[in-house]
Amino acid sequence: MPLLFFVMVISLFPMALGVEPHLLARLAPAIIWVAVVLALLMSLDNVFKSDYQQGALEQFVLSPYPLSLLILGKSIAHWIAIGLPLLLLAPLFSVLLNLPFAGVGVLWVTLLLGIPTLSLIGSIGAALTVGLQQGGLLLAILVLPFMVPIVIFAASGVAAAGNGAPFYSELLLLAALLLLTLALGPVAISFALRVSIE
Amino acid sequence: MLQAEALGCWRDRREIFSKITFNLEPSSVIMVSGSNGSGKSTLLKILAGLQQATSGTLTWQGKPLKPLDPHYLKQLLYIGHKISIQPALTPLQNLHWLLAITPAMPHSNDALIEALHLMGLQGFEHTACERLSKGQCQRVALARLMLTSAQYWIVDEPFTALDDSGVAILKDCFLDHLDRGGRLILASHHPFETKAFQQTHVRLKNIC
Repeated sequence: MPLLFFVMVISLFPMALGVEPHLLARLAPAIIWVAVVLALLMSLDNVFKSDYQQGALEQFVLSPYPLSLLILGKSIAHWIAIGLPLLLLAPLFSVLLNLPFAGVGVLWVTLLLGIPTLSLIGSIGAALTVGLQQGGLLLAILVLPFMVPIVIFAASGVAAAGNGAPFYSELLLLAALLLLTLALGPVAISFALRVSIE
Repeated sequence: MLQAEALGCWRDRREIFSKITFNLEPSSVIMVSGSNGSGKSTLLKILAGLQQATSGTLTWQGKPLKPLDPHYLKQLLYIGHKISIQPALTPLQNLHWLLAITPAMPHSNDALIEALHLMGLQGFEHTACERLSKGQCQRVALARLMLTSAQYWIVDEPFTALDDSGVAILKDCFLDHLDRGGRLILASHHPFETKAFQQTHVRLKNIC
């Protein structure tokens, strides 16, 4: 579902903007990244929801193994289900948006670094709102501000690459953010889940 | 040994229960009974460590029990009100993942199939749980009891949705566990009487 949504949002832009290849090329990094964020947000609402409703989260919490490692496993599963397909789809659809060829490779690297960061940040919000009936909108409002820096660095990196400007600093920043959330995210998520379960 | 001393719990400025005191020795049962809403599930969650008591202390092996102490969790099997069966997975897959994250005896795929057979689920091992009845799903959840290595069993209302033969299998399973020196905390409306083992009744009343 989130993948189909991603495809629809991306295809909407060329139709709405009309025949303006240059404008489209300039907007392409932003469009793709916003579509990625929206698709991820859609999927994140359900990361823990069914586990919560069926009681699997209680079993996770009561497992003698560290909860953060189990969570990391779940995050990897989420990446395989949502992140990896996005990673494969996005370069294809960047052609639709007339993104310069130099930008496509950099776009791919920013997605590789950025998607796991976004989904870990989002999972913290999902863990906090898992007990709420209509948590989806609240989740978006909670986590979107924290996703902003990643979107800024990623989109500006891709734009810079398209213009032939240097873009390494953006990629390094994204890599640093990924390592930071990879280290702290699962711990934060497990605390949030313990709170939600009580 | 698990000891509860004057446990009490408040929620929404209302006292759910208070002054719950008991000792849980090897080969003994704590039967928690009480009407709907009297706090049985809450008490069981507190004993499992999923919630904190508002008053009183829990002692385990002579020391105050820390919340979610991994040493305690290695001895604990909790089957709550939500039985934690994933509808999209088959009974066999459900058992596999549940045993992977909770204390379990070394087990092979055949042992899991045998446990499912003992629970009366022959022929359903590879059917997705969403296509099974509620009682069958309950049986899948309870098949864990046959493969766990945990000493402390906390089981919430296991007899609901089970038919007579299911109840009989489950009672045998409990008796085997007690016979091996295990301990059982059981919340149920269904009577479970054993002459052979020590049994403590905790009756919760609605305090309004």
